[in-house]
Amino acid sequence: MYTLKIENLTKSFNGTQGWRRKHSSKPALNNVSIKIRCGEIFALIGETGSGKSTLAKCIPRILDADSGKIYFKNKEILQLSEKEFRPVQPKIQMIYQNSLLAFNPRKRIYNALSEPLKRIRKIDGVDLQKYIDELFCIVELDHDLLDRFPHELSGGQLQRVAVARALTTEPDIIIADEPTSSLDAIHKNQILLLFKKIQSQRNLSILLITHDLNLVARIADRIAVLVNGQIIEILDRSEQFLTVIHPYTRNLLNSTYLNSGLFQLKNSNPDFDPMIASHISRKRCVSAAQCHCSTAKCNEVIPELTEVSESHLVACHFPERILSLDRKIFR
Amino acid sequence: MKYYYFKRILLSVLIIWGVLTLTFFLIRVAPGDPSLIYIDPGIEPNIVNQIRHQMGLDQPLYIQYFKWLKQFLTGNFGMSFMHKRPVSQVLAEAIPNTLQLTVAVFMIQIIIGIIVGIYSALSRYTKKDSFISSFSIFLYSIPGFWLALMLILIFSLKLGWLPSSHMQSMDIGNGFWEVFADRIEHLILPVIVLGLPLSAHTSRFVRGSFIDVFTQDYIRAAYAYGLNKRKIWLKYALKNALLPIITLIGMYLPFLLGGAVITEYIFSWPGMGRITVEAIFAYDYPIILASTAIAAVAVVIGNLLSDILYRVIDPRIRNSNT
Repeated sequence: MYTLKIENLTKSFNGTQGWRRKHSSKPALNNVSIKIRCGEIFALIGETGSGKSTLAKCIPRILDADSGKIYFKNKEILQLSEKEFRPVQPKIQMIYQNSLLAFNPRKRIYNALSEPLKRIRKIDGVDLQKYIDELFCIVELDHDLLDRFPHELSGGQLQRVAVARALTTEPDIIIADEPTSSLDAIHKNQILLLFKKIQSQRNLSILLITHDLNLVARIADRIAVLVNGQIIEILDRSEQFLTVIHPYTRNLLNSTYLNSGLFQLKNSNPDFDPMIASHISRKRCVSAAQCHCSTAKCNEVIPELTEVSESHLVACHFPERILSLDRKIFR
Repeated sequence: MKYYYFKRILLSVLIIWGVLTLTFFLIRVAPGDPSLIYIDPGIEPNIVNQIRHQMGLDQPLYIQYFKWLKQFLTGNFGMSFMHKRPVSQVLAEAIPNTLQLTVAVFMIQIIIGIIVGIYSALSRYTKKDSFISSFSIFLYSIPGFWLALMLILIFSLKLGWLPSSHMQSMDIGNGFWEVFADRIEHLILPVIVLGLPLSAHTSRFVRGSFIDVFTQDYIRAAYAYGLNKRKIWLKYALKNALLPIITLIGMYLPFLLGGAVITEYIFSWPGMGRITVEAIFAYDYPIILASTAIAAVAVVIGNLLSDILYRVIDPRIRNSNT
């Protein structure tokens, strides 16, 4: 059972260039397809500018996608009119990077939490107070904070309040767009544990968008790697060892985890050079220049995402060739 | 908090004193002598000295200053050289006239400015918005004196629809509504000249502020938890976007009392602006100083008021101790 299915989502940003106002179009997402299961933490990783946040904003329709389909609990939501989408919207909640900007600066925390409960869930009076107390217990915050204004709370506390507010509508999926990027290590850890806790308690799906691999290593069930608006690999994190195929993913994971021990790569190959997204061509495989197994085909055709094993997809023309080379090296 | 207000008020008094002292010495350093304007060139020197003595101009500058300061602090602004009447009397007549004009302008500015600004922000980056933006900049850059003359040329001289100067017609009756309608007729042109560029300015300000608020995450979050559009508009966007307008209102308070110098002069509107310009040309020191004092007090109070209002409305500023 999938909470969210995204099929061939494409989005580009249009604009004009130069004094002649020549039309230009910058692709941000290119045929992105992912499926998020009920009650799983699905991590989307990738470098800055790869299209992670664009994808996050396309799901609750903050941005309009150019083409493709998004199924939320088997219901296509991009085709819905604004009125038809209104009842679905509260079930898809988002947690933002900068929590201070995610709260009305002139409303106290209590009001920020009570508003969706009163207006949408029609909870009032004693029940309202009870519900808010319960939410505060879940996110482990002191009840004194309810009377404060957002700017009077620390980043970590506010991010917890953001989680509590997201829970007010009893969502089926929470999209967390780099929720810990502005937090210190201790608060990062606490927020992670909180995510894990609410996910298991409420059987929530969480789409965790980040470039922080620490986060991913700790809590994600599955990992998708996004480069230049394209998914290049989807891995299952449930196995003890990750079998990574795509050279770009290896590079990404190696750069952080070769020595940290958080990820144990069965087939790590440190020969690949680091690369920069701007140098990656959109007309060929992103790792064509660095890959030991690349051929002329890799330089001419963008590989499609194909299944190499159950729950492991990779955009590579020759996954078997890479794996057999690994076997030789790491025998 | 009390300490903050005490500090602010003390600073305000110091600023007003500084402005007045500077003005006092500057106008006396300027070439020319007020007594010479009222004296026939052929008059005997001892009579000239007598007149100068009456006006208090024969004493050393610092004595003149302290005398004036003492008078000023007791609320006595002195006698106007030009009008031969107490300055307070002259100003008491001019201030209501100025207020009629400036309050009308202020209302037009705020109402048109906010409505056009919000409309522009809602249709942001469309052709309508570009048109409104370009037209606003066009209006804002037109010199007031030129616009005033053009409007007089078209609506008073060519079409004969509206009066070109003064506050009321010579042949007006005594009925309230008659006087009211006549006053409105006289107000239209000066209000357009002053109000249009100012409302263009306000609309740009409001547009920017609204676009800023619309793209904030808390507006998106409010949409996401299912609040309806109207509520988000009124409870979230409007209230937060109008916060910077308070600063704008504070900035325009001096204009309300100080009057619009050039426009009042062109339309012969007997307000503060015109009286001040005439006083400058006639070396009428007491009036110049009194109107400077009013302007300085208005600036200081405008700032103080907008600061206090901001503190009342915005909790972020209320809690900071700066």
